[in-house]
Amino acid sequence: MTDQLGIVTSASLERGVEVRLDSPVSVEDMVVGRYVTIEGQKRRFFGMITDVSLGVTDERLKISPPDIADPFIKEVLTGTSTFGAIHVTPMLTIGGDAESILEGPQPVKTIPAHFSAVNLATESDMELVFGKEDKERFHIGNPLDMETRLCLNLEEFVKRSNGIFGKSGTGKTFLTRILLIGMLQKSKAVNLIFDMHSEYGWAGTHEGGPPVKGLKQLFADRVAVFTLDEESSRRRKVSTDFTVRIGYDEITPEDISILRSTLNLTELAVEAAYQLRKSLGKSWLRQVLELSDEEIEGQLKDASIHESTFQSLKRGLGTIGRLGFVVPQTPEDTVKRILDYLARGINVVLEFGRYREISAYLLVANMLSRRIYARYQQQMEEAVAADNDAIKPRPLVITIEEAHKFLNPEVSGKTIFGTIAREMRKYNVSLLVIDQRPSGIDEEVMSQMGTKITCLLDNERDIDSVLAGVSGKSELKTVLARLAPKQQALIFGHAVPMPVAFQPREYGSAQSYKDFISAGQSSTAEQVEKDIEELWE
Amino acid sequence: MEPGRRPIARGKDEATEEAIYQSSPQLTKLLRSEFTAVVVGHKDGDSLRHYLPPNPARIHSFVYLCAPEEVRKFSQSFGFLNILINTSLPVPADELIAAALRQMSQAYEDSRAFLVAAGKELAALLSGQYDRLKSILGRLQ
Repeated sequence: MTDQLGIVTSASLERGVEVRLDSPVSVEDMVVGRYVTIEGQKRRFFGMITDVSLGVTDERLKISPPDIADPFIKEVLTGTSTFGAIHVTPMLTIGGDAESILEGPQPVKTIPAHFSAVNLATESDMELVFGKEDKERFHIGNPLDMETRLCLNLEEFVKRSNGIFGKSGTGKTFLTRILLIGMLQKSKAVNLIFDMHSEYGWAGTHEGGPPVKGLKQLFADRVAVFTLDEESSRRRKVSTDFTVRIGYDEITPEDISILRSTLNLTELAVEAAYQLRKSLGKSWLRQVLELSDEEIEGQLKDASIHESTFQSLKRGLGTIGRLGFVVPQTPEDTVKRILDYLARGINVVLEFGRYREISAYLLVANMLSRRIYARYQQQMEEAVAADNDAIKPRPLVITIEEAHKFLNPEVSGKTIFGTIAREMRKYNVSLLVIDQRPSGIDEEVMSQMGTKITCLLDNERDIDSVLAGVSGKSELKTVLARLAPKQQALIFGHAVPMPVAFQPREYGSAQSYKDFISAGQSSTAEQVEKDIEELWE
Repeated sequence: MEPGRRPIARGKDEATEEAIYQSSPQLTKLLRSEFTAVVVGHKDGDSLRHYLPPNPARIHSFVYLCAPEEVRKFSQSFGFLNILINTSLPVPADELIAAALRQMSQAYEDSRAFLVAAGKELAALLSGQYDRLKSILGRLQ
């Protein structure tokens, strides 16, 4: 046991536990976000420090403070008349009897008795709660101020849609990379990553340092890099597996409706797109872009589309047509190619190269995902009909950045991502949402996310939307608002038994790459050993 | 000295205080010092109790100063402080407490640690009376 911190002086399930610190414990050693255990009479509680305060027994101490120049007076008063107190939010409990120890930590439903001893959580406590690194658990970092390895059960993690949030520059990308590696190694899921800033595939930027290796450099046989912009990839000396081209006839009016605000189209113009599609058929976009105004005029009259509406639509479509990767005819079906890779268990990173504008990203991500999702849905339904788990498609995790553009209340009903987030894993597809402005995401979508990981946020509305519906929200808020601006994050939700503030593991040094690569191998090595053992039994 | 009689200053012409007693030897019999003691604990068999005994001390009992060893033993617990704080005496109780603790601290090698511990006990007992605590603490050193 570590040294005792203090004792419980008052508690309520709703408001949390007040702990008065013992006099040798310095209040300055207590940091928000740390874990403590409380030894109750019948059970142990796990909780997180959510507030630290100073108390005095007599109000007059505040009015006429003692002579602090005198060390004697100071020493006497510390811990007696003046004392430190911490506020602990209990999260989990383990009962004392054998049965409940087997059950493991349970959500807290009661509070510790008066004067229960409070200790800092030890490594073994943390291991009890979060588990050890094993076949399913992946070491993602260390809890704040602790050496313990925080492990995340990725098999559980990929069962839901998840979110990574944080202001820009807080380390979202690094965190995502770590999680992607984890998923690649420890779960059966494959990833499709829409990599807006070309950060994940081959190499990523690192503020104030040399570029860091991307997924493909570390796991060449498990990752394929697709690109929209060959030139940029070639300049960056990235070996790409496929160049994505999108044909005119692959773009549907649904895609246009999502781009409405980015292309600055009116509602009527979007409506016109639907009508044109109806009357012109699959090649409507090519016709709109290539035919002259006179040729199309007849069509307009039939569909009763106003001239100015059409011009507005045409201007918007022109923006799409000018994107380099949009071509009249595609040599090969991109979606099929992606699905091939995914079916073989190879993760696909789609780089956008110079097409960093949001309209390109929205268009491509939405279009490809929609069609991939449709295929998954189909395969899944076939598998269910045949009652055969073996032909179920591999679980797929789609990673999108700037998620609020896809999932804001206005378009989340229309984009495929809204549907995926809502329908959860029914069709073996889930999302990994990366965003810096979570308040822009539809509440309904936010509420369906399983695990949320958030780096520092300082906008009140963003914080509220990330923490919506979490128990102990106001306490977590203090923790969240006090995360360091870099490389600290708070994780909570489905895949972790209780919220925890942590420091993501190192990414970027030679040693860290070695660790990442070996993390997967060691588990297979262990597995082999186990198999051999079993063989001899 | 008889009650009601006030002493007269002597020794105006003497060189030292001893000389006064030499020239008026009756003084040693006439003048006497009295002291009042507050009972703060007692010994019950082998164990020390930091509260009042069931019976007061008998008249004509002999009074001894405690040996440092006894002081150390007794001051292992500060239960007696409560009696001192609440007692009513012709002298200010706070002065008495401070003096008593100072005396006791001399029985310890690390007198400061003892005083700090005593101070903390006082702080707990006088939690609502900060002014009083402050004045005692000021007299502890």
